[in-house]
Amino acid sequence: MIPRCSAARSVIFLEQKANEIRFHSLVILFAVCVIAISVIILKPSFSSFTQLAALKPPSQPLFSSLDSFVLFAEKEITLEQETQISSGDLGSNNKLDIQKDTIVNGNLFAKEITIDKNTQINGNASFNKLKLHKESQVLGATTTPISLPIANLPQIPSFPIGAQDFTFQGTLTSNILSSGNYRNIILEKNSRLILTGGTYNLRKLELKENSILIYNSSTTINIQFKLKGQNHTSILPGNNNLSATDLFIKYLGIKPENDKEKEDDDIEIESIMDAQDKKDFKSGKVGRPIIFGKDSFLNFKLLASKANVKIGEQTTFRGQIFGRKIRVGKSSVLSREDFLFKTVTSADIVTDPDGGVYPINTVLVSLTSTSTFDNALQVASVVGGKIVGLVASINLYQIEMPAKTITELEVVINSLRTRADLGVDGVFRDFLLPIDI
Amino acid sequence: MKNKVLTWIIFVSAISMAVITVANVVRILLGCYPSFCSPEDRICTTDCAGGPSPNLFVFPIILGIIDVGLWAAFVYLRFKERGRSNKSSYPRTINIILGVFSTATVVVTLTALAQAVIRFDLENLRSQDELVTKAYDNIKIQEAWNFVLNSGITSSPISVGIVDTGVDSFHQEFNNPKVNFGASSAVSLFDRDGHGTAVTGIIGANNVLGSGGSLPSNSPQMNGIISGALKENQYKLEVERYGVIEVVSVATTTAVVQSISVFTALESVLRRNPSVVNMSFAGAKCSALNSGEKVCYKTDAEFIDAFAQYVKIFNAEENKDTLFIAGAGNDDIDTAFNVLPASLDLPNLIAAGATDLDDNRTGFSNFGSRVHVAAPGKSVYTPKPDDDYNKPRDVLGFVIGGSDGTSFSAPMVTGVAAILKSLELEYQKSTPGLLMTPERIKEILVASADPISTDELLGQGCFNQTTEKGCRLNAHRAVAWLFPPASSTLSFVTSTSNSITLNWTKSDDFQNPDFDSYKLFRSTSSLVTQSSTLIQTLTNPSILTFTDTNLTPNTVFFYKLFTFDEAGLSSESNEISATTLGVPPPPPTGISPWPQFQHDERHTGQSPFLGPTTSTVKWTFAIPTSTIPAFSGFVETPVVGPNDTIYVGAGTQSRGRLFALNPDGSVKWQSAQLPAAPTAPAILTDGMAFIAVGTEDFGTTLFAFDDNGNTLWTFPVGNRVDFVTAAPDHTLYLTTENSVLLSLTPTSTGVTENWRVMLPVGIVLVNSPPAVGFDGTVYVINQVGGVLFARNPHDGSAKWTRTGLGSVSPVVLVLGDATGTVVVATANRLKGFHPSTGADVFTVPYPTGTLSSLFPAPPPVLLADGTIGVLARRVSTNEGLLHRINPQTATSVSSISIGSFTGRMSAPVTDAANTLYVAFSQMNVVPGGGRIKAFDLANTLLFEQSTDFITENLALGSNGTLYAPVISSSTFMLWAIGE
Repeated sequence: MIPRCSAARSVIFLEQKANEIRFHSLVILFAVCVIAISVIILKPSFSSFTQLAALKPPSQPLFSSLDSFVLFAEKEITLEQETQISSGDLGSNNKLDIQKDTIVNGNLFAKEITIDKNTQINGNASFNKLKLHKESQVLGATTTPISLPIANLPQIPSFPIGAQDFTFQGTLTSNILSSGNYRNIILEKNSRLILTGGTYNLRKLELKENSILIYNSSTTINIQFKLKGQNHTSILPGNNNLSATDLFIKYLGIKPENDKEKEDDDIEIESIMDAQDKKDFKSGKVGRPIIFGKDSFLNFKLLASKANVKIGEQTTFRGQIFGRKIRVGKSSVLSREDFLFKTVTSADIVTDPDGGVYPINTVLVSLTSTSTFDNALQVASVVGGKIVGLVASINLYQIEMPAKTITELEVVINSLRTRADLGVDGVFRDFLLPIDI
Repeated sequence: MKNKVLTWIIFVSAISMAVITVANVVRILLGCYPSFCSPEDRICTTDCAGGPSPNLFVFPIILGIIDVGLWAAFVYLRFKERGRSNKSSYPRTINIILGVFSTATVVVTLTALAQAVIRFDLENLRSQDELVTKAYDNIKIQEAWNFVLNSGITSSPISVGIVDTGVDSFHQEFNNPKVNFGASSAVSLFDRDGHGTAVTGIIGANNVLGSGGSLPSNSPQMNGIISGALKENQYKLEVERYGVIEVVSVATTTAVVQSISVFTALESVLRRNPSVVNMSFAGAKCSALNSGEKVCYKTDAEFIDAFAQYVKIFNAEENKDTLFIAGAGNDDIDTAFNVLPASLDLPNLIAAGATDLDDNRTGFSNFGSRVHVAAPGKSVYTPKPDDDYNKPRDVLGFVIGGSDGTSFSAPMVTGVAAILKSLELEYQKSTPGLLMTPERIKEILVASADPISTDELLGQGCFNQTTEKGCRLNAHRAVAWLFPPASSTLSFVTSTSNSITLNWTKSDDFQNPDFDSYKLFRSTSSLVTQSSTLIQTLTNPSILTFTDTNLTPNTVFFYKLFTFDEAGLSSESNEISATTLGVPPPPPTGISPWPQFQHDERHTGQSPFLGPTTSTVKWTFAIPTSTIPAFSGFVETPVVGPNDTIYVGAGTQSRGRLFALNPDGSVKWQSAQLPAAPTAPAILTDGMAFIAVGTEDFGTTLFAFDDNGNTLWTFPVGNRVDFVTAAPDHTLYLTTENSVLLSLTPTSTGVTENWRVMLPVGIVLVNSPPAVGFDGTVYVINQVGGVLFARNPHDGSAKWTRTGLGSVSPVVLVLGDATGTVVVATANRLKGFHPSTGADVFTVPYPTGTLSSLFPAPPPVLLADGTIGVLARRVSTNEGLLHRINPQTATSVSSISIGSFTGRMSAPVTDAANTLYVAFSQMNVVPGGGRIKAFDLANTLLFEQSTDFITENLALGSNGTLYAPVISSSTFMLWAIGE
C-alpha cells in the first residue's frame, strides 16, 4: 500500500535512500580497500622497475670495476690462434676477435665478437653482434644486446720524470733500483734488475732479449713514452707472496713536445700501426704501442688507456692488461689469477705402454719453498722449455719443452731430479687422471 | 549512472584480483616467490629466484577471499541494476565464470598449502619411491635435519669448496631458491661431464619445500645434505672446475683430468677460505692396478712427488683449518700408498669409501687403513645436467641406475662435515671455547659412524665397533655428537635405614644417539657435582633405577644423575635429597618372630628379620592322617614363637590338633585331640606360656597351652572365631561370626572377660581379625558392607565408624609411623584414615584397569621403607598385580605383574630388607598349583618357588625361613622354604 501522506512518503523515501547510501558506502569502501591493498601489493613491482632503471642509466658503463678482466680494450682485442685464457674475462667496447684453436675460461663482453673455428669459450658471451664459427662453441649463456660502454678505462694523470738514465747489464746482485724519478731504464741482453718497490716515474723502460725485471714488493711504474720487451723477457715478482698485480704499470705513450729523442725501433713501431693509428700517434691522440716479444713470462697489471699493446707469441702472462687495442700472439697463455695452467692438446697426449697417459712435452716441476720464479725460469731454461702454468703456493710449475718421445721426456725428468741446486724437489708428468671415480 | 560505474569498477577489480591471485599461486607452485616479495627480492623474481618469504600462501588466500567478496558485490549490484526483469543471461555467465575462477583459486591455494607441510624435497621423493632415497636414508640424514631444526639450533653460514668438473648451475636443484655459488668462476658454473653436478647436488642441492616453496607430489627434486639443515642463503658452494680433457681412442672417448689443473683448482678454491673441500677425484699408482689400466701414475717416484704436492697444500698453515674430503677411489685396491690424494695420512683429510644400499662394500671401492669412513656410493640419486637426474630403479630385483663411485660417497661426508662446522657456535654453548677444527670434525664423523660388516676395511674406530671392518656415516649421530644428552628427571622411590632407592626417566634416544652411561653422584650436602661421590655407573640406558646401600641411618643424602654420551658430554638431572630411616630396633630376642597372623596386632605383615632371597625347600611336615584324613580338612596359617618354634593348627570339622615344630621340622609337641581344626594361633609377645587357640566348631572354645603343649585353661567363646589378636598388653581380641567383638585378659591360670560388644552390622565378621592401634584402639572391618569400626579399648564403645567403603579387604593395617594411619584396601584403591577421627588421610587408586579380587582379598603389607604393598587382580585377565604405594606422598610407586592365575592369593609378607613375598595358587592344580615369588624393592624377581596349593597365609621365622601351609594331592603339609 502506498501512503498518501506526503510526509510519510518523504520519510520512507529518505529511509530507502539511507539504505542505498549505506550499502553503496560499504561497497565503495570495500572497493577502495581492494584498490589500496592492490597498490600495496604491487608497489614492489613499481619500485623495482624504478630501481632497475636507476641502476643502468644509458650513459653509465656496464662495469664500474675492471677487476674480473684479464684483458680489456677500448677498441679491440685480438687473440691469435691457440691462445689460452686460463682465467679471467675478456672485454672490449668495440671488437673482440678470437682466432682458431683458442680456449677461453672466462666470460666475453664486446660490441662485436668474432670466434674462429675450433675454439671453446667456457663462459658466457654478451655482445651486440656475434660471429661464431660452427666448429666452435660458447658453453655458457649468450646475451644480446649489451649496453655500451662495457667499461671505461681510467685516465693516467701526468707525472714528473727524472733526468738520469740507467742501463743494466749482467745478473749482478747489485742491479737494484729503488723507487724514484728516472729517465730511461734499459735492461741489456741477459741482464737482470731488481726493483725494491714503490713508485718509479720513467720516460722509458726497455727490456732486451733474455732480460729479467724483478719486483720485490708492491710497485708502480709510471712510463711516459716507451715500454718494450724483446723476446724471452721476463717481468716477475721476487717472491711467491707477491701477486702479479702487485706491479702496476701505467703507460701514457705520449712524448712531450720538447722530447726530440729518437728510438731505435721507431720504424718497427710504425710498421705495426695502421694509417689512422699513425695519424693519431703523430697528433698525440694515441700513444706509442707497447710491444713484448715472443716467449716472454710476464706478471703485471698494465694500464695503457691510449696505447696499443702487443704480446708476443708463446708468452705466459699473469695479471691484467687494459689498453686501446690489445693483440696476443699465438700459443700464449694468460691468466687473471695468479695460478694458471695450459690445457694440453690431444696431439701431444701419449698413452704409455708401461702405464700412464700424459702430454709428451710437459713436466710438472716442484721447487722448494724458498725457491723463486727466477729459479723456475732457470729450471725451464735448463731443459729448453718455458713456464706455461704454475701454482705459486706450492711452487709447482708446468713446463713445456720440446720432447717428442717417452725416452726424451724421461731423460728430461731424470736430469731435473738431479737439480737440487736449482731447488727442484719433485718432478712428474702431467698425468691425466680418471674422473669417474 | 553512479551505480553502473560502481558496478563495473567492482567487476574490473574482481577480474584483476582473480588474475593476481591465480598468478601468485602459479608462481608459488612453480617454486618462485610471489610478487609481494620485498623490493630486494623483486629483482630476482624475473628468473624465479628470491629471498625467503614466510607464509607464502597467506596473501593468495586473502586475495582469493577478497575476490569472492568482489564477485558477490558485483552479482548483487548487477541484479539490482537489471531489476527483476532478468532480460539477459549475460550477467549470469560472467558470474559463473568469476565464481568458478574464484573458487578454483581458493581450492588450488589450499591444496598447495597442504602439500607444503612436507619439510624436505627428499621426503617428497621418498614418498614416490623409497629406493630413490635409500642411500640418503642409510646415513640417517633426515633424522639429522630434524635434529637440527627441531632443536631450535642456530647454524652459522658455511662455505664448501668443490673441485670437480663444474656444475650445471642452471639446474633446478640450484635455483628457486637459488644456491649461492660464491666466487665460483664462470667456467665452473657449467658442466658438460655431469660428474660435478652430481657431486654438488649431493652436497647442496636446494630444498624447495624447506624454503617455503612447493613441489608437485611427483617432482623429481631432491635436496642436498646441507640444505636440509641450512637455508640456501646460509651456505656457499665454491665450485672450481679442473681441466677436463677428452681422450679419443679407437673405441671410446674418455674424459680425464689434467694433474696440474687439479692443483690450480685447489689453489683457486682455497683462496676463498672454505671450511670443507670436497675432492671426488683419485689417481692411482700404475703398479697397484691391474695391468690393463693406463690412467695412472707411471712410476712410484712420480707418485711420491705428486703425493708431496698434496701434502704441501693440505699442510700449508693457511689451509690447516680446512677439512679435505677425498674419494677413496674405485680400483678395488688398498688405498694406502697407492691412491692420491686419499692415501695421505693427515689430520685434516678424510678418505671416503663406498658402500652399497645394503651397507656392503661396493665391489669397486678402494679400502684399507687409510679409508676413514664409508658412505653410500652405489645407486645414489643425483642431479645431472639439463634438469635431469641419475635415478636408481629396480629391474627384476636388481638395482640399476643412479650414481656409482666413491665420488658420491665423499660429498655425503662433505655435507655432514659442513653441517658440523656450521654448528660450531651452538656446540660452544655447551662446551665453551670448542672449535670445530678439521681434526675434531674428522674424529666425530668416524666415531659416530655405524659399524658395518664389510669384506675389507672401510673405517676403524666407529660407534660401538667390535669386530666389524667398516664404518658407515651416520649423520644423525654425528650432528648430535657434541650436544649434551637430554637430561633425566631423578626421583626418590624409597629408603630404609641403610639404603635409598632412586629412579629416573630414560634419556631420549633421539636426543642422545651416542649414549654412554648414567653416572649417579651423591653428597651429604646440596649442590652435587661430578666431584661428589660417584656411586654408580650404568652403561645400559634401559636401567632406570638404583638402590644406594650401606648408608648411614637417619642421614640426609643428596643425589644427582649425570647422563654421559660417547663424546664425554653430560647433562645433569635435578638434584634430590632423601633421608635414610632411623636405625630399626635390633631384632628382639626371646620373643616370637611371627607371633600371630600378619605378624603383629597392627597386621603389618613385616618381620624384623631377613627372609630368604633364594629358595630351597628345607623340609616339609606332613600332618598325620590321624589328624586329617586324606582329602578333607584344613591346615591353618602358621605362626612362629620363641626359639623359632612353629605352631600350626590342622584338622577337620570334627577333630584337630595344634602342632609345635622345631626349626628343623621335627615335632616338638602336639596338642591333645581337639574338637575341631584350630584357628591360627596367637602367641603372647612375652613368649611365655600362653597360647590361645580358637576352634570353629559350634560352641567355640579358646584354649590356652603352655610351651610344652599342656592345656592351661579353656574359655567358651560362643560362636565361630577365625583369628585371635594378641595386643602388646597381652589383651586378646576376638571377633565372632555373630558380630561380637570380645576383649579378654589371659593369665597362666585363667582368663578374664573385659567386655563384649555387639557390632551393629548384623552380618558375619568372619575373616576380619581385630587390629590394634598404638593407643589401643581396636579396628574391625565388615568386609562385605564396607564398614570400618574403631572401638575404645577399655569398654568397646564406639570411637568412630566409616561406612560405604564398598568391597574391602577384611584386614585392617595400622601404619607404623607416628601417624598410625589406619589403612584399608578397597577393590580399586588404597585408603587411609585418621586413627583418632576416621577422616580421610589419603586415597590412592590402583593403576587404571586393575581391580582387587573380591574374595578373598589379601591384606596390604607395610614395608620397612614405609611403602605399602597391595596385591590385586585384573578381573578380566586374572592377572595378579603387585602395586607399591607411598602413603606419605599418596602416590603409586610401581605396579608389576606377578602372573595370571585363578585361585587364592595369600597375605603378602615382607622382611627387614623390604623383600616382598607373595603367594598364590592356581585353583584345581594339584600338585604344583602354588607359587611363592620374592621381589626386591626394585621389583626384581629374586626367586620363584613352585609349591602345591597354598591353603592359608605365610609366616617368616627369625632364621630366614618362610612357612607355608600346603595341600598336596592327598596330604596336608607345612613347607619350610629358605636359602
